[in-house]
Amino acid sequence: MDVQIYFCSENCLSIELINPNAGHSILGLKRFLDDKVLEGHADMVPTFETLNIFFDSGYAICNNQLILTRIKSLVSTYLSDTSEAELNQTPIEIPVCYDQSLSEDWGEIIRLSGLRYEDIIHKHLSTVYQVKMIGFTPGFPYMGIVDQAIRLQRKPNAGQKVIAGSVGIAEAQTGIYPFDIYGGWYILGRTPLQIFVLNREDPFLLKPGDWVRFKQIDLDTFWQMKRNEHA
Amino acid sequence: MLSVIKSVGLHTVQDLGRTGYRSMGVPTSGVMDEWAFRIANMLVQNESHVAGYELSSGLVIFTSNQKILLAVTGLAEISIDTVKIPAWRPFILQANELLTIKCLGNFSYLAVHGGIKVKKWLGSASTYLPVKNLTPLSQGSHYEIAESNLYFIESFPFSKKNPAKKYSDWTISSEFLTSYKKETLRIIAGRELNQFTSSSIANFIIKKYLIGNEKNRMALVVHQSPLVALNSSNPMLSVAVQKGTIQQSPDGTLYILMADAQTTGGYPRIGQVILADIPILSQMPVNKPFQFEWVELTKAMKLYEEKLKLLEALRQSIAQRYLT
Repeated sequence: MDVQIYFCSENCLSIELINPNAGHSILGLKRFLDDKVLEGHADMVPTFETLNIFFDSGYAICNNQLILTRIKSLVSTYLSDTSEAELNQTPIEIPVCYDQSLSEDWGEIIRLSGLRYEDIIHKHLSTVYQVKMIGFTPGFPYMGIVDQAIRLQRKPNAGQKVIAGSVGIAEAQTGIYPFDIYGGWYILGRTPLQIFVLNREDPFLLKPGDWVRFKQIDLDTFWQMKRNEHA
Repeated sequence: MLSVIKSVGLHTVQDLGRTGYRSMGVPTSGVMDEWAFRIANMLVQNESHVAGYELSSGLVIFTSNQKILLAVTGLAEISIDTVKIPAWRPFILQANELLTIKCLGNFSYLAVHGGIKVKKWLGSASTYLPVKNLTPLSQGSHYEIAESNLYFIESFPFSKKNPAKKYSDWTISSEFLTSYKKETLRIIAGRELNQFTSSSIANFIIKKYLIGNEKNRMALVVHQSPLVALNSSNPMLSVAVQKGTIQQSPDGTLYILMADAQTTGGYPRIGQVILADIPILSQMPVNKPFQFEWVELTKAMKLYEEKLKLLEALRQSIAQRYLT
């Protein structure tokens, strides 16, 4: 395991955890720090190997040594506790329709993976995924880890408009497009759920650390649910 | 109430930005040039977080149905009816007069004493266009004045000798204005700088650059980076990025992320423009050559601290003007 703690800018502290021991992870560390009082703290952004803690700039520049000492001590407490296990959270079920009428990418996905349509769906459904991070755009979950057999690189260009609810794959990740936006992931299907709603009390359906299980639905169910969702 | 009579260009409502939602992929947004915005609010005696207008190149014509106290900062040409008003000074707009603001730099800021009433999203009034939480200014847009303190506005004439004068005799010290003329942007080394050859890194600091025309609130683009990747086949995991982060895409383009930048990115981080220089970067004209200069993080923090002290001194001196 390799741990690095440093300021990557005047107001952002990065904690890198490379190949952490079992029971430790970026999301586990985030959960651990969420309960702690961190003065001047503004935002915490988990990514795959780094937890980034943003501070109020004015506070950070005057207290950077204090912050560094405090975080180092907290991280070492977290890492010394080997009993820390992933919370047994019930996965959130997300219905997905894989009907080929909802994605123009199927021909290419079948060609690139060398698998049959049904097998690709089966492989995508066979894993319970964890939201590792949210990024790219508000509410876009990066979920892993996708079965080796259906890992595809991103499309050569991201110039295609992707419809809200589209479920895509890229490398070891699967994701859901929160609203209509240009994107470069291969699209397997679409969920009728709105994972981002601007004026909902909580606009975000998924949070970093959540577990997600996809459930296959047919096209009729998809449109029925979609009508209800928007009703 | 302030109404937009005409709007040419992209102008939005902004404040100091949205914090606490980066982990949900929500950019901070907020003003591009924090100093000019903060000073605009100071000039009309607002708290620093009060929302105002960010104008980009183009023009806006406003009218108001009530007497209001305003200030414009940035490079701008301002007039009320036919009277020219200087930027970086508070001024009074009377009911039914026409206020025309032409933004001549990248961004100008209009602050309204009391602030404007706009719907906040996730704690901030900053417009983030991709989610359409607010719309850009357009003909017919109306903004209610939040807490205009009429007594305050009526209580002072700008000029004791000439009570009809629309704007103040005083302006701010030129220290902030001259810093925009800088031709060097100071940067801290980025985490993935070591993914490039050392000879190309040496070149990086010698070369002069221009901001490309395709700039927006998300990112500024700089073409022709001399940086050569050591091993381009090594895919990178997404990392956190922020305003001022300089990333290099595989085709050699530098992206300098700005206020509406996404929260995470998958391109190597070359460097980070220091907080003290981001306002200068945001106002950098497209045809003006500039260079990068490496600084240590401790120096960057010190420079920002100095800027904050200057701003605080400015705030106090403006408050003093209103007292006398």
